[in-house]
Amino acid sequence: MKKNNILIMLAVIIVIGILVIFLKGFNVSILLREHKIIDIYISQQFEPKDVKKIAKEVFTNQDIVVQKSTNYEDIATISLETVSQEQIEQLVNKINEKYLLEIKIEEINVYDVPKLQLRDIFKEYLLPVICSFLMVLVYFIIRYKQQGILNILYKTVVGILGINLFYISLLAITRCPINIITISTLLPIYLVSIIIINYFYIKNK
Amino acid sequence: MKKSKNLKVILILLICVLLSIISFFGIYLKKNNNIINIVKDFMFSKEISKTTIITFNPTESEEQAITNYKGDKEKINDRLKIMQVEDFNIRLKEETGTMTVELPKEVSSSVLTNLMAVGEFEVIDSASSETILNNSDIKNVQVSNKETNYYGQIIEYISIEINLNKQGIEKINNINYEEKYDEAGNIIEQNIALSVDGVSLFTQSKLEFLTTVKKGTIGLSMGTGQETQEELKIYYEEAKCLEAIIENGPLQSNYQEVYSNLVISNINTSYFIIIGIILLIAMVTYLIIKYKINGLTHSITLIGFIAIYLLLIRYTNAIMSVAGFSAIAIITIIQFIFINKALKKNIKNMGEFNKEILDFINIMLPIFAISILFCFISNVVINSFGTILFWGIILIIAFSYAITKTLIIKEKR
Repeated sequence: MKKNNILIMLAVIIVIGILVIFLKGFNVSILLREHKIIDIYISQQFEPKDVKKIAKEVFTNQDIVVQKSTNYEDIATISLETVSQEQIEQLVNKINEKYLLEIKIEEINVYDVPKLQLRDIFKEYLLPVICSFLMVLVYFIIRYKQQGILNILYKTVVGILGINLFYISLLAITRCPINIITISTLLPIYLVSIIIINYFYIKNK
Repeated sequence: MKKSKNLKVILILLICVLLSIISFFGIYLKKNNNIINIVKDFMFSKEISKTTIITFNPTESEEQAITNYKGDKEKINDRLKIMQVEDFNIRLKEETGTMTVELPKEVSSSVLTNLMAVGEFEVIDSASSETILNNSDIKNVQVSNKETNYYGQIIEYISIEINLNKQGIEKINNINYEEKYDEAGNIIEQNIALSVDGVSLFTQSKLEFLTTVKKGTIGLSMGTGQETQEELKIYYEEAKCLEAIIENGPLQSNYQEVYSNLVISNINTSYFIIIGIILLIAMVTYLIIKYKINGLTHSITLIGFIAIYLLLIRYTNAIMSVAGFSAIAIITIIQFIFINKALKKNIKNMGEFNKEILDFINIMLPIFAISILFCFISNVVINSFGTILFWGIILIIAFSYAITKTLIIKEKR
């Protein structure tokens, strides 16, 4: 009974997650979305969090990422959604004030960066994951055939898909930003799901 | 007997401590008045180190069809693969044709300069300025390192073989070479020029060219035999760039670089290290509280295990990525579970220990197979994950027989 309740709860979360994905999509991080880049030559060592604090004051309610750039790490590269001339003026004034610089507004350029298609990333994962999944499926069917081929087939597909869909649904429901870290964690979750399922098959044997 | 076992345990613990010091802090030597760490450093993927970002805009004023830009994106994708750049992203704004390419910091200058070259390949008859061959006549391009014996001396060079397709071979065979004379009755020299984007790569007499290319291969070489291995490596990279831009055919648009920068990742690896330390402290505390002295010795070996694992990753040139960090975490947790299970079972002999190892192999076999498969994938994230996982599983088994066994087995038969 308890096991069934957990399974129902997981299924509900997956359904809600899928609905959220269809209705609102994922909360994709600014670095993966179409964005604008502003480079500011600070000409000294700085902390990105300090520049981000200033940028947040100017570009309110925007997802902002500040990175160091160049080999000397003396340029602040600010990635954001939208930017106006007035905001650039404010930003430059604040940066000049903070770092005692004399940057002129005309020195600042804004560059467009297109979005990174998530399908381009997932396309790379597709073939290795499908191949490995089929490999594991064949292994499980041969190794645990006494537990019933259909049973193994069903449990493996539902188990691995379920665990991974559960993770993806959680990302969608909690509006956790989709970035390189969250995408990279899909691989270990896939792997752990295989370990868990294999462990249960061994236990049943 | 007991004394000898105690000595063995002390020796194992000392080795673990020593390896941990080497792995976590390094070995420092004075070289040319500088103190340097001689332990190899980690290789990081671009997502956690530095990324070269280049943005290109199409130069044409009139708007091109979206499909053209999409086709160009695919061609650049293929070019980068031929150029042996594995860790890259291409972003395209389909409406305007703006393209941003993200590359690892280490890419060579030849990749950067050739990446967006149009790639118009032409073989021109210099006398008539007629184009004999172009991209549509090429089947493929093969670049390889070759050696030749020149008066007993082995000379290394880079060979570029441009193989023509059926249409190209037909074109060559249909050309009739006729000698031409000037008014004074002297033979006019007829040459052909091979060029890419209007830049001449080589010139040859027309007769010689037609004779050698009849079989369908234009052979080029780079290197005179005087080059160092480093120079040959650069030539090879340049030849691969040539292969990439010729083989894919020309881009449909001309692109101009509008932005270029080397950006440092916003992913702070120290967060992963802090999470790792917290995880390790939790595991060590659990072992010590549950198994007292035994737990303490196994905690030291667990730290030693991580130290050896990190050295192994560095010396096998495995690339560290976010997925790689998670592979290290998975392997460490598995090793912890293995130690905990073995301590719980109070293993008395080698047979019981072997059974434990066999159980472990049973659980890990699918994962091991997947890790081998992932090692052969060119995508850096998947490859990094697979390689780190592969070495981790191998290390768990080797470590169990070399170290854990001695500490776990209470009595020997």
